[in-house]
Amino acid sequence: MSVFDWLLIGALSAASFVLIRQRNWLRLAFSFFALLFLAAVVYMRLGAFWVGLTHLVLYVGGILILQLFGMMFTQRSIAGQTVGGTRLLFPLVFVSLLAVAGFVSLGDSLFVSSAWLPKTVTLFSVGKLMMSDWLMAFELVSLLLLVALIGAAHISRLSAHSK
Amino acid sequence: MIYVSLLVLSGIFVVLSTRNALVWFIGVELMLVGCGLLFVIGGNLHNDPAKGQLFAVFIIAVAAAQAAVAFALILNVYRKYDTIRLDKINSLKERD
Repeated sequence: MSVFDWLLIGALSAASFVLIRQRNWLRLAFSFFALLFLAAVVYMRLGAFWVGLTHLVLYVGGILILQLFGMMFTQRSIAGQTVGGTRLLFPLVFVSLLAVAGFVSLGDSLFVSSAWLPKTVTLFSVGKLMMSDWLMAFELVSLLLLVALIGAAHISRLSAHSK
Repeated sequence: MIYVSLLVLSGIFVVLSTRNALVWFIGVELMLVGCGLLFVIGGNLHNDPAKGQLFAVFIIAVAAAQAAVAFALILNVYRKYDTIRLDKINSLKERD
């Protein structure tokens, strides 16, 4: 692994730590943005440049903005809404156990090097795959997205009507 | 793989440690991002990167659909209960 990879891991860890220690919305939103941005960088590092771009546009341009609107609509402070004391013990132990289990089962594969070698994949080959072998899956996902968006609009409309 | 582990473990920790629905949702999104990355890594490892990238895009689309529905539900819950604290919402029945 190169220095760049270690720097990326350090940045991801820092952003995750800030996100976990969330105390105010602004810090939470910025750390979430940093994590999404770093994930896009990892996609590009893996040779999936256009997936990274799609991820950036959809997550940062769509989901993060939705999240910010949700934060503004609902409340200004999340202080005291994280579990503390002994109730924090369960998540800590559970995540630590998962980390240890992953480390033991994966071992050196955690730092697998062949996956980092960018493979040459053109958008054409992915598009061809999408429109031939995986056309049904593509259509189903499109349909799911459409139904979800109509459903979301319907749920919001119902509550406005009931008021 | 260590990137994926960091994202998924952070997501699980956030989901388990928060009482706020919006923060809980961030945890779920982090896990989905980790899964997308895992598909790309899997594709690269099995010398079929195009398929891995295709599934990563499917996951991004599912995450977008989930985000739309989740935010509509969270806002609806907030209108009815005046809170999105998960420990305060303990009834599915509409309040009088």
